[in-house]
Amino acid sequence: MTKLTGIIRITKSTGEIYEYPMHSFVQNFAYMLNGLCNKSLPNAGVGTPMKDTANVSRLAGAYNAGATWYNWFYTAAAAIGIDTYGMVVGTGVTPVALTDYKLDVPIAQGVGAGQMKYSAASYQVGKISSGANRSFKLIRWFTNDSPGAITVNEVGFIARPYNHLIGQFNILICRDVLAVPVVVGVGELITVEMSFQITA
Amino acid sequence: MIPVNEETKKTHRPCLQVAWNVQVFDKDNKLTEEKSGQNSLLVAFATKMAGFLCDNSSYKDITNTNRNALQMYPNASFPNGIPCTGYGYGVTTMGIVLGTNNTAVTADDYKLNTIIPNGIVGTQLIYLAGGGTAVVTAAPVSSFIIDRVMLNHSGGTITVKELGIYSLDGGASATICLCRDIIADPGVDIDDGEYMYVKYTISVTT
Repeated sequence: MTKLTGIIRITKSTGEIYEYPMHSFVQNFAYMLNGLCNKSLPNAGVGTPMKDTANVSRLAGAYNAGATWYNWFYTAAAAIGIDTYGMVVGTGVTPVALTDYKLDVPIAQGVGAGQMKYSAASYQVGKISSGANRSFKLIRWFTNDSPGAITVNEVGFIARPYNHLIGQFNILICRDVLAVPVVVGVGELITVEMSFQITA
Repeated sequence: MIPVNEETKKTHRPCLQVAWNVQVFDKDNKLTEEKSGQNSLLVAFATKMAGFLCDNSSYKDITNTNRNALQMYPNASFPNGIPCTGYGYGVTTMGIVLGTNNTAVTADDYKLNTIIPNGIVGTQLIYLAGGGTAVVTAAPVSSFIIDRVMLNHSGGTITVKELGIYSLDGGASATICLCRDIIADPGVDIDDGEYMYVKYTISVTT
């Protein structure tokens, strides 16, 4: 049996490592894959309503950006300080539902109470080979420069499909509630990695 | 370094699942044979996924030519993505395709081993237009289907031993093999006048 599996790995600057099997692509991801599979006319959308992070229905569909190419999930490579897309963390503990469209309680970018500093996103190139396995990895760093400790309970990933006619939206495609919370002390940094792997 | 917190480790299970099912019907539309299995996603799929998310790593098209996941120019006919539904009759460069060679799957497979061409002579099948469904959510699963029907008007029996999904990439007009599956011997026979219904179900589960 072959499948796509995911792992969330969080490493604290103090050396502790937490690793979780990633379970929870949400309904939005199915919509996006469904849209990707359709050879529909550009810009039309295929009538599969995803929910953006503001709970507004958006079409999944093809697009044509004229002389400029864009990628459907464009872009995970969020810049420093961006907390609206790419990998995100939160403090919420509400169980995952397929209809989730945002983190339960997102942690905002900043240095105020309950805020963390979001680094620029990074990634390791796909097709990392190991026997029958091939994988790729997304990485982002979060620093707690707030006045107090912050407990990370949830991790998600927000994609940014783009269509030059109907716009660009922030779409949560996965959310996982961590089996064991990660307490990030003042001045500490965590490295969050999401690895996706197929196995032949 | 402190070891991984064992408490956080739970039984691993897929975050995306793909399953296949084939059914053969006779001239009277009577089901004569059915087989199912779990799907074998390939490197091309993983690399496309990486490309969708952030990366421009390369993968092989079905001619064994390297293509870059991000660098597909979307033109008016073939937008970027992994289009494998909504194409026409007779097309064997997009959607579900069948083959006759069940050599074991490897992650680096980039095409079916021995694809069955479209046609009505020899070892050929008539590929009808490919379809699929919209997403259906019934907690805890969201899923959709990619499907296709192939008719045997060749005059003889054709034994299907492999199946997969081909996708057409944007402006490069490259065909990539997203997945390949094999059917163990003796395979599935489609006699002359019979047809096969092939279905892939893609699902995510909370």
